[in-house]
Formats: sequence, structure tokens, C-alpha cells
Amino acid sequence: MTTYLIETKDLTKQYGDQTSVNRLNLHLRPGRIYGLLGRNGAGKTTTMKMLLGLTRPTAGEVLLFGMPLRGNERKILPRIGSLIESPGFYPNLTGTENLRIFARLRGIPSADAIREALALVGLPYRDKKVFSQYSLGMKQRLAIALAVMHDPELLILDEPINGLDPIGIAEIRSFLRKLCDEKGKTILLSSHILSEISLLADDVGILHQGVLLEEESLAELEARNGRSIHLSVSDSAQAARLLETELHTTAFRVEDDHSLRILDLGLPIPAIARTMLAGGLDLQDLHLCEDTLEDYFKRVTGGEGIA
Amino acid sequence: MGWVLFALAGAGCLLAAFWLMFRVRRQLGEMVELLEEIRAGNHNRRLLAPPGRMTAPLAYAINRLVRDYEEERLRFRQTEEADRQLMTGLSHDIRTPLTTLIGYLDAVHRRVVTGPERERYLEIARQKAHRLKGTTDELFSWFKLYAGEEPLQPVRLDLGELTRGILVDWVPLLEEGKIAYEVEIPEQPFWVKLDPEGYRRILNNLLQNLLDHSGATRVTLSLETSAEAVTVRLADNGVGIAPEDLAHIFDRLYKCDPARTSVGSGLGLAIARQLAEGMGGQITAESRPGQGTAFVLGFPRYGAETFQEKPKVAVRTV
Repeated sequence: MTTYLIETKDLTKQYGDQTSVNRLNLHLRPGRIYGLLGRNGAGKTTTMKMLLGLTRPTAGEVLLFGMPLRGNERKILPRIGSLIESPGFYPNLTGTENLRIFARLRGIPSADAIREALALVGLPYRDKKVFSQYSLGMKQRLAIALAVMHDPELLILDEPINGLDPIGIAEIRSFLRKLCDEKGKTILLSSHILSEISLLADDVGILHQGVLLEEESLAELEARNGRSIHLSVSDSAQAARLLETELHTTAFRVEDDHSLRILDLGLPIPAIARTMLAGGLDLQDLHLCEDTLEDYFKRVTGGEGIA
Repeated sequence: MGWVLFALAGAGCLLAAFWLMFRVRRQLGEMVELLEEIRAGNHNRRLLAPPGRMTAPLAYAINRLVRDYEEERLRFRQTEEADRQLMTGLSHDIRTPLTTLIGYLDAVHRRVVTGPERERYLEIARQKAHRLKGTTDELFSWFKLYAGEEPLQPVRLDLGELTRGILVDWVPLLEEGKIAYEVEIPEQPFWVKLDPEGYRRILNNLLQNLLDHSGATRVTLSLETSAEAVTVRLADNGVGIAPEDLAHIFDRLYKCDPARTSVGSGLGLAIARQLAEGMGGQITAESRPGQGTAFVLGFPRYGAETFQEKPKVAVRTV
């Protein structure tokens, strides 16, 4: 049963003659954190607004929980928690009072849902402070509390760490990770900060000028971009032996009968090549993989970088 | 005139009752629909109800049930995932040394090397085979511990005496590694209840780890006792462990530096933790990169309790 929780088909949004989102095909698997990475103006917020039905796509379709969003809004939207820009809270009411209003409007899943939601984001329950006196970080926390209060299956969070200090960022990060690992929630979040995404997401989508350049699991991206020397030869066993006897290194891993990954980057590539050939082995491939994720993103976005 | 009002009021009541019934029935219908979906496998659905609604307590109770069940299921799935990763990691850890070993034997077999060089290759291969067996043994014992198939047999003993006995075997190895050692075990008895063989393995693993990875020139082992616990502290002045690694060193197959795959199975500390916890103790590590690492073992004191454990003779007046 691997239906996608979110799937978009050629989702497009045009404002006048400017294409903000261009034929987007997103795929969100259940129980994972998906990070939408892109620079300011890449189309992240527009995409999320279309996913929530807040703005209508020019073309294409949004499928949520396997159903088209159009026409099923009343069924679908209560199952989502979202944070897009800032929600409209009453400035003259406290955080708890604000949440209580939303609880009456939307319904909640348990009697102490408000207290739980506030505890999750680290805000006090029944505090006297009114919303207008909140700091930027507290406002953001309250907005996240609102997004999770009804214990939704899917969270769509636009730049959730905006306005938080480093400790707050770490708290929210571990909180989101827990929601995913321990409660099985699916999370879509956006950020323009590469390191944030790489610390949190399982899957990454890179959005650049409205186009989804890449959609891949983070583990796969990292494996592709780890620093090592990749070696393909006719016989791994002999290559391993030569590495030990001739090049005096044990820092390698045998991947299969024909390929090895050398983790000792100090070895000169020509010396490896000479040793393998002198040992009577056929050398099919030998190259240094030293792209960091940063380099990779720079490359796919055409050299402009992201962070 | 009165009866008209009465009838109207009655009709009003009836209407209100019908309306209420209609609403509750609709809410129940929604609940059933949702329960069907939960039954079909989506345990993340929740019944939402505003706090005042008549059916709200029912909805909340159902949610609690589904949520508890889902959390349980997820915990189970996480263990499964960890086991799967362990298996992949293990096959990787066996494959590299085994392939290298085959490399040496093939070279001998194909007569790539001759004479004394051939003998040397055979010796290297023999050593590698032994090391691989060591890794396999360790894996095996770890699995047994993990599955609880190897019951520990705690007995009351003096931890000071036991520790001294174990250290005696390590003295030559420490001297060979040019590591100065200092033992601070006061002469008093340190009564604990634990499995001596299990404790020996913990200490052996910690010391082996120190020899293989710390690069230390000095090690201090000290024993202390408080009201509740006996603490064994093994501190070195080696390279230390980076904070991001420190949280994981007791995990299975965690290795701080991926480039150093040659020594150790990555299981020594995991075994140590499993053993310590299996005997009611705990193991922690503190470290400062560049200054050294300290492993701290704590076991509950056993002694005061022994006096209370006198056989309870029923007092019977004759």
C-alpha cells in the first residue's frame, strides 16, 4: 500500500506571464519528512498554498491521501496541519485562549489537546501573556502548536524555523523528528537553508525557479556525494590485497566482487592505478568522489548555490 | 388556550429531540466511517470534536485507543528497522575482511608470490582468519545477550578484588602499549551483586577499546562508593571523542572514524552496555576531544540489603 500522501501532477501556477511554479511532480511517501529546498522566490510557498487549496493552480492536479483535492476539501483539509506564513491570532488574547477558539471551530482529538500541543512546542499553558506581547519565536511556536493541535496525519510547514533562535531550532527539529518516528506522521517542510534540510529530512526536493530539479532520498544523495575514492577492477580480492601490501592502507570497504571504496583520501590516484595494473588487474574505473552536498546543490542549481 | 401552548411546546420539544437525534446519528455515522478506515490500516486518522459536543468523550476515548496502539506498532517497526540496518552493517563488516583474506590466499594459490613471501602471505591470511573468527564470536555473543539467551548469574562479590584480578592480566598489554597506569582501589570491600564473567567482559572491552582507539599514554582506574552505588571510573588522556560521536558510541556497529575500519568489530562497547544494563548497572562516557575520555560504570551497592535478607522464620509461640 504505497500510495503517496501528496502527489502533484504537472502542477503549474502562473501569475500574469510569470510562471511561478512550473509542471511540478512531487511525491511524498507516508511516514517520512520531505524537505523542499529552494532559494527565496523559488516557488516553495506558492506550491504549499496550492497543496492546501489556498490558491488555485493554473494547470495540473493535487492529490492528497490518494484523492484529488478539488471537491474533497472538507474531507481532506481536517487531516492536515499547516503553517503558511503566520496564522491570524487575536492579539488581545493569550495563546491558550487563541487555541481554544480554534479548538471550538475545528474540533480536537482529546480533551487536553490544547495543553498537549502547547507542551510539545514548549509554551506555557494558561499563561497570562497576550499574543501581541509574544516574541517572534513564541509566535512561531504558537503557530506550530496550532498546526499540530488536532493531531493531523500530514503536516505542511512553510519555513517552520523562521524567527527561532538556535536552541529553539534544535528543539523544533527534534520535535518534528519525533512526530515522524514515534507517531508516524508525514511532514512536508520548506527551507532555503541547506543544512537545516540535511539535518532533518528523509527526502529532498530541490526547487529552483519554479522547477523541481531533483527529488531523491537524502541517504541516496549523501551516499552519492560522500568523500571517497571509487575503484572498479576485475577482482576485488586482489585489489584489497594490493591495497594492503603495496599501498599500506586498510581504510577501504569492499562493495562487491568488482568495486571498492577507499576511504583514505591521502592515497594518490596515479599510485593506485599503477599498483592495480602492475598487479595484473584490469582497471575499469577510478575516481575521487568529493562533492559535498553543498557543491552538489550548487551544480544542480546552475552554480548559484542555495544557502 | 392553555392546551394549544402546551401542544406547541410539546411539538417544539419533539422537534428539538429529533434534531438532536439526527445530529448525533450523523456524528456516529462519521465515527463508524472513520473507524472503518482505521481498521483498513490508517492508524493516523483522528476523530475531531469540539470540547462541548455530546459525542466528544466517545471520540476522545477512541482516539486514545488508536493512538496508543499506533505508538506501540511504531516502536515495533523501529526495532525491526534497526535490526535490518544491523544486518546490512554486519554483512559489510564481514565482507571486507573476508574478501581481503581471499585476496592473499588467491595470490598464494596462483603463485603470484613464491618463497618466503608466500609464507608471509599465508601467515597474514591465517591472522586475518583468526581476527574474522574473533569478530564472528563477538557478534554471536552480542546476539545472545541481545536476545536474552545468555542468562547472567549475579552473585555477591567484592568488586575491588575482582577488578584487581582482571587488571593483572592487562598489565603486560598496557606496558607493551607504553601506557602508564594508575589504580586507585581503596582496601575496603565494595560489595555488589553481579555476574563476575559479565563484569570481566565489560572491563576487557573497555580496556581493549582504549588500547585500540584512544592513543592514550596514561590510564587511571578508580573505584568509589556512595550510599547507593559503586562506581568504576576508567579515564584516559587520549584523543577523546567528538561530542557528536559520544552519543552513539554504545550503539551497535558505531565507529567514530569511518576510515578506521581495520580494528574492532564495533560491538565491544555495545556489548559492554548490554552487559552492564543486564546486571542492573549502567555505563556512561564523558569526553573532551584532545584531552581524554572517561568511562563510568555504576552498579547498585549490595550489602545493606544482605542483612535484611535473613531467612524469615515465622515466630511461633509454643
